[in-house]
Amino acid sequence: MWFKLEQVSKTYLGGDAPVPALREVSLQIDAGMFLAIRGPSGCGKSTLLLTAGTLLAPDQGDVVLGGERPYQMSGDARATFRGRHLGFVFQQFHLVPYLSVLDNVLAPTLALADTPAAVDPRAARDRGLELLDRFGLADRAGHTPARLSSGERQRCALARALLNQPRMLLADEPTGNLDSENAEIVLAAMRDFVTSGGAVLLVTHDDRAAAAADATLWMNRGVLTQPETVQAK
Amino acid sequence: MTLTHLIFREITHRKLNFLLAVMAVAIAALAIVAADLVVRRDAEVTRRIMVEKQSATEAAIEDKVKAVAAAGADLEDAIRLQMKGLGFNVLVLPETQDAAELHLKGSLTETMPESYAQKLAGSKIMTINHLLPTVLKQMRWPEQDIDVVLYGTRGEVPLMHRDMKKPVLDAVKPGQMVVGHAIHTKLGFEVGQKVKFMDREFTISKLHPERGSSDDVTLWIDLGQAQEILGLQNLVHAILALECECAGDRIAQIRAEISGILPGTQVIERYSQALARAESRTKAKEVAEASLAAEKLAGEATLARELASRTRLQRGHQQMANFVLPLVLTLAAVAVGLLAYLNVRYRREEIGILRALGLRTRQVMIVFLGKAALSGVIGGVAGVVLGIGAGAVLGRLLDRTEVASSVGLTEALIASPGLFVTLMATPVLAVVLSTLSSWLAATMAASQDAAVVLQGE
Repeated sequence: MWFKLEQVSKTYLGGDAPVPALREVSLQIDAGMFLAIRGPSGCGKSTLLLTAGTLLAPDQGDVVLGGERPYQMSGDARATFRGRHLGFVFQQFHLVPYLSVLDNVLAPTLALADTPAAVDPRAARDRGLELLDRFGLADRAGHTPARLSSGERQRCALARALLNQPRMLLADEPTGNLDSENAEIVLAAMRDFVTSGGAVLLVTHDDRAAAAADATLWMNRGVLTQPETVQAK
Repeated sequence: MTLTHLIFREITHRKLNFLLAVMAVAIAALAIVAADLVVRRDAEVTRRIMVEKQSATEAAIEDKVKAVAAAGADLEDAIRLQMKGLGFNVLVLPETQDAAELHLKGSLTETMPESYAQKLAGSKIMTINHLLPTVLKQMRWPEQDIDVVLYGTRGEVPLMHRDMKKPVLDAVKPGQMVVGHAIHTKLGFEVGQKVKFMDREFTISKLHPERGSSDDVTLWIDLGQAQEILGLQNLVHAILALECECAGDRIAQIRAEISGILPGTQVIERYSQALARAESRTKAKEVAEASLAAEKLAGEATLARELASRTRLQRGHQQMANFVLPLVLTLAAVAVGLLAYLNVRYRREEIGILRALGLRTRQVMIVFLGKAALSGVIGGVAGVVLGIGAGAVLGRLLDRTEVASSVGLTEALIASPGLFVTLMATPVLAVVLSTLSSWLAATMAASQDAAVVLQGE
């Protein structure tokens, strides 16, 4: 299995009382798998996604990606690992407002700069333009995100997530702000990514999005309620 | 895509934040340059003023020195002329001669060898000039039936060790006669007229103007002829001399010198009233010299006062700079730090996503510190340029002297090594100031937890 969560727990402190977000969650995803996780708001879905994305260290348990344990790495090594192997798509897109569409797509190359995995700038640009063309944004390359529609912004964010050819996509409500047409485009792109050997972990409320996944797990109060191992359809 | 590109794009996107940071840095750089320029201007203005005043004082003193020297020379000449006008005022007489006879009768009876004049002239005597051996006798001019004083003179005996001086009294050639004023006016003589004296014929060669002394009733003839008339061959009654303008007790010095050369003689000084006048002029010269010395002291005191005044002014400006400069630098640093902090706050989401995309701590730091360094470079250079102008204007406002307003002063200072170093170092300092002030904000950005930002959505 390329991705494993082993008995992962995470509790938020600081409020009136500790809030357990993940309770001994175990999960395995292999290459070519598209897994959706559904559940009510506050059930721990986003925490699971961030923990899987090496952005939020668990209190207990282990996270293994491609045989590596990112939370045992230094912060910078983990950041490089994340930039190299993971791609993120968020509901709010999180595009950099002052960069053009093309520059936003090329931003992940910064993570690999000065590392053995550094990408040739010309090759990165070609790949960025290719992704924009693929997502129907070729004529928007020089525009800033403010001039794009929601659907275009999410396609831009998806292109950015795919630039470094990651092993896994982590998507948090990627279709939440999109019309059905754009949602289809995004989900189709994710399916293509899975088909090409990548893995997708999708957190969503959206039935359409969940329907695009190979399997769906339910989460309630930090606990997964479906089988731990997910196989491709 | 590079970090530099990211920095420039962000700057063009949030221009106001960047411009404010540049302004803060520019003000700090301006303060450094302006303060240094004002202080250096002060020092240069002081130097120029002191040189100017020193040279003016020296010129004034030099003029005074020349004036005193000229006055001294004029005085000396005036005294010399006065003494000449008065005639010989030192008489060397035989020791046995009763001086009262001269004062009462205007004639002398005792004699001494004429060779004494040569002996005196051959000595290295310093206290007298113009030696004139003479015979002198009050007698009746039988042909004219009047009393006269006969002076026999052969002309001055030149002093061997002195330069030749113009004689006070020209020699009277044999057969010629010089006549005093009272005689020639009474008898109606004219120059060239032939007269008989003691059965000898003389031609009148000169008529003296009125002198108000015994000269007015005197006849001057050749010494040899006078000696013959009086039966005093190779003898003289007196050697007349002109006293040098000597300081102190002159007559005592003259007596001491002459008694060493001509034992058995005495020295009489005449016309002490005129000498007193000469002394008073000498005193006046001394007063002028004392006044010159006082003027020198006054000039030095004026220079010292000017220097003290300039030093006070410089110290005041230096103290002002010492107070204002740290204040401005602190405020600028706080402003830059605050702007950087606000920038971090504005870019919270952006930092979160860049971290999620894999940017390392160092890269996030570079994004913020690079921007700070750029604002430091631009602000530093702008501050240097503006600081030169501000320093020049401020320097003129704070120092109203003419020298401080002189054209080219600032340009001269810019070319000087001291200010040049400041001008070169200030942009570097500005970069350091801006970068250090932004360091805390950059550290906050770099340590920002991407998960917290992304969960915030």
